Amino acid sequence: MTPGPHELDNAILRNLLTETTRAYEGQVAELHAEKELAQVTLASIGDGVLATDEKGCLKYLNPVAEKLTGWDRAEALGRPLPEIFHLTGQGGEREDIAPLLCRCLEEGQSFRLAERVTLERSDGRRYAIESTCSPIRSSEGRTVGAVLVFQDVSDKRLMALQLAHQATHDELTGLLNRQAFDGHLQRALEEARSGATAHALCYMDLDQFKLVNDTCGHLAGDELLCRVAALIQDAVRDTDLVARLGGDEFAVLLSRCTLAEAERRAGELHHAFQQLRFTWRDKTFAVGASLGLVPITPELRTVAHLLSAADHACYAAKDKGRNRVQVYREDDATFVRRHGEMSWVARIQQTLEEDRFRLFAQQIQPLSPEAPPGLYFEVLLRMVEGDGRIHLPSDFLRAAERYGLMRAIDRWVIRRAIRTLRDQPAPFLDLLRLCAINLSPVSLGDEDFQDFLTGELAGSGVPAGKLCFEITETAAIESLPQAQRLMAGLAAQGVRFALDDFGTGMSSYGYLKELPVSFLKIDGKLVKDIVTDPLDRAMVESINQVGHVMGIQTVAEGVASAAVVERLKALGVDYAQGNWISPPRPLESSPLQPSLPDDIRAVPL
Amino acid sequence: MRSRTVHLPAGRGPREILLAAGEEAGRPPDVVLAFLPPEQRLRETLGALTALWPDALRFGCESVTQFADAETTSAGTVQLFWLDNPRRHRATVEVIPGTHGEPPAARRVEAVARRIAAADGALLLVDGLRFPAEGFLADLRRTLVSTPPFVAGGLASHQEPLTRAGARVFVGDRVLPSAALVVTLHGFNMQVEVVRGWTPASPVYTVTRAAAGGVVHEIDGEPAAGWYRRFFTLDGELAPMPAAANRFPLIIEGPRPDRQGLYRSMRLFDDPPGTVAFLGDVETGDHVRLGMGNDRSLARAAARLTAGTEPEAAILFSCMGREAVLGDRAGDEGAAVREALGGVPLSGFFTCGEIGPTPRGNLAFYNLTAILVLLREVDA
Repeated sequence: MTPGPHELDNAILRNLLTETTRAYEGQVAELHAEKELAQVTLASIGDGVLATDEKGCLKYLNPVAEKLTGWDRAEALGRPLPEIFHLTGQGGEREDIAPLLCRCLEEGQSFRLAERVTLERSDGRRYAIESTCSPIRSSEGRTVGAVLVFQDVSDKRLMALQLAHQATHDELTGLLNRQAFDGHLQRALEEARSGATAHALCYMDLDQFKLVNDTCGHLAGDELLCRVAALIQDAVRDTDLVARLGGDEFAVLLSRCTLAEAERRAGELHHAFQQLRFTWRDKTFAVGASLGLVPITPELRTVAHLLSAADHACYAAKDKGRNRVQVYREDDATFVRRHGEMSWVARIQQTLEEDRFRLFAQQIQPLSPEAPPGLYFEVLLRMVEGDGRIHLPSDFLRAAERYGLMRAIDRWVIRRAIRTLRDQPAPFLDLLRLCAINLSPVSLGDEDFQDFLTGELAGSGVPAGKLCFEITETAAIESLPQAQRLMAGLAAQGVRFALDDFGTGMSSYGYLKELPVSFLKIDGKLVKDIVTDPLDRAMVESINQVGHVMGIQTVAEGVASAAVVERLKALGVDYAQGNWISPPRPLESSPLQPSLPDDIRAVPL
Repeated sequence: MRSRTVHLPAGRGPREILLAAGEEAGRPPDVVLAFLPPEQRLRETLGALTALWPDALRFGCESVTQFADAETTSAGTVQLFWLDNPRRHRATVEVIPGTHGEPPAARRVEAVARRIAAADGALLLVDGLRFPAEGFLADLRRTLVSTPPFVAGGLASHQEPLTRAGARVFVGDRVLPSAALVVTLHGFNMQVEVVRGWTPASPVYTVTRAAAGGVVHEIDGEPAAGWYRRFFTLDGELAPMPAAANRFPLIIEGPRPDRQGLYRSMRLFDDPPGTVAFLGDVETGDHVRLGMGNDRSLARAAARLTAGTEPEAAILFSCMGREAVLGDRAGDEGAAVREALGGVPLSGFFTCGEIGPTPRGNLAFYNLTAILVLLREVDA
């Protein structure tokens, strides 16, 4: 029987209902799967997620949120968010999230929590967090809740703190570094200017650090610096600031401290240093320190001035025999002289920049008829000022050494000397037997020096064997390992060495065996009275004999008369040098023409 | 404006009835709108109208079932309009002649669009079989760059089996096969309501392949005919198609906003195999679902209409598909509208498709809706 329209419609409707139900079941299954996926995702992410309803009561929290808040899901759901989300600010004060949440829910505004807030878990444990809160909107745009996403940034914040610490502290000792210390000094100066309070700066330089470093290695040096850092921290008050300014230089900002009090504390520090014994393997060192103390007064206008004054005081302490405390006073003669040195620094730098140094040469005369004929001389340095005045090295070398300019000066001298030799007309180089150049202790310890010299000689046509570097006995001994390395390396290339000013310092023949020396230059102080003073004559004779035994030739410096020459010849000294033989002449402007007394054999050029 | 709807009862000559109605105003009507059954009745009525009111603007179309106030009839209905001031309030009829199934030329469409844009509203009466109404509307939509004034109307309907007559439009005493009439109105307030009465009855699906002419190949990747079979197979037997399907119209649910809420009647099922063809266009990507309704829901939708701003005349274009669903209660819809409007003179007919605005103001070709036009004279 054919169904009527209503039966037909009803049957079709049943089909539609079945299909609709099936479709909705499919959609429900999809929604369920999506919900599962969303929940699994939320459960898997590393961020804490909290969701509230429109009243701010908790509807959802993921496992990370459970862990960070310390609230169990079952207990937390339905509670107002502020009840479980306890925040504290940077200063430890309670931060209420309720007003922010209200604004989010009522005005639909997202917000980010202030930096450096911490979340307090239910058991009191705290986490540094970063968090954002956003409104949840329905499809019609109505705010139906809020979602709070937060991350545990404790590690990140700790790392930031560590980075900040690294930026302001010395890695080795953990003390404040120079940059951070400057900031504190600046504030101390400002307080001094305002008359609020008195502070003092104590500047320390270790006396034996180089010795420890050179003889025991860098590990020992580092260990010594750490010991010294601990010693200083133990000796000062908690309110004082201790910094390592670089190398073996330390400083203490003595806060709220009169000069008298500062002197007392510097004395205690000095005493502590005197007690310090540093042992490394089988060696024990007494490590002293030179201390410069500066009252921080309004007259010291800048941090640079303040540190300069402290450096001067420290230098003065060294100058007075090391291992002592020196208080800085503006009108003290020592400091006036130091100020003078400081002025030399600028002049040296300017002279280098303007290429106004000049080289002179002083003839060295062979005394033995067996000496090969040729040209022997020592290169000497002169500073020519802008107004034409000429300064001897004794005027400026002290400042140059003190302020780290010797390396530049040495290199200028060597470069210019080699180029001058190169530029001389033939047969100059064939006749040249010896060109002696003074080398500072700094260059002796300069690991790049050999490469520098090799580079300068390369292509110049000047054989390395024509050069002889004069080093002082003191410099060689102070940097013995480095000096040995450098001298051995250069000697292998043919360069020769002379020990300068031998005989008046702490001369020890023992060192001669350690160093590849070709010449001993006998100090002019011993030579000048050789005719009349039997002791000087004996010493010269002794040096000459030892030298010869060791295969080292001797050069007498400061020869001022024919009688001295005669006596030197009688003693068997190999060479003589002095103004009587030949005064220094400009190396570049005039050819070397020895002007010799008649009784000295002329050396053809 | 004064209006009167004249019911032409079967068995009585139209001349006397029309004459009596026309004399009530004391002067001939200015505009005469007629919806008439074909053949003999059409010729008699047009002859009478020409003889009675030769100077009136007379136009209309053929139809199977007409509305005459609260009555539903198949003997024809004529609505008379007496305009207060014919200089200020006027109607103009433009004939777009038959093009043998092809849309009118672009130049013609542009001219029509200009006239519509300058008017307060327009009625479209279209040959329901031979004029490509949907293509014409699409061209008109493209040409009317801004939102058009209200445009509403219907496609003339015909009786089965089809003869040469039926579904034609007429102007004066001339019956025009394969033509469309564009009646532009000036000095009128025109309000248009779209009556639906269908409720969603299935989930939303996507048309995955469709072609021109309302042909749908696939829905959700499944052949469209197969998709329909899922719902319309009862105890292993397919329900009569497309009749059964038109009781469950296809509703377009977007995603394009201008297509939201369009209804489609099925024209052909499984011809060619696997496809379904609709009276209106269906596009690839349309989201669609089946709707459901019955005589009560359709009548209730009509009863919910409100009269708006005191209309002086009403014209109802209701789809023949609705007539099929209303069945024995086909008269309920017109009666409900008439009652909702509080006695406003009403004419109209069951159409082969309706023309009306979408909620966003675009011109649309509807199936299975009722488009109600409310008119009131206004001073410019």
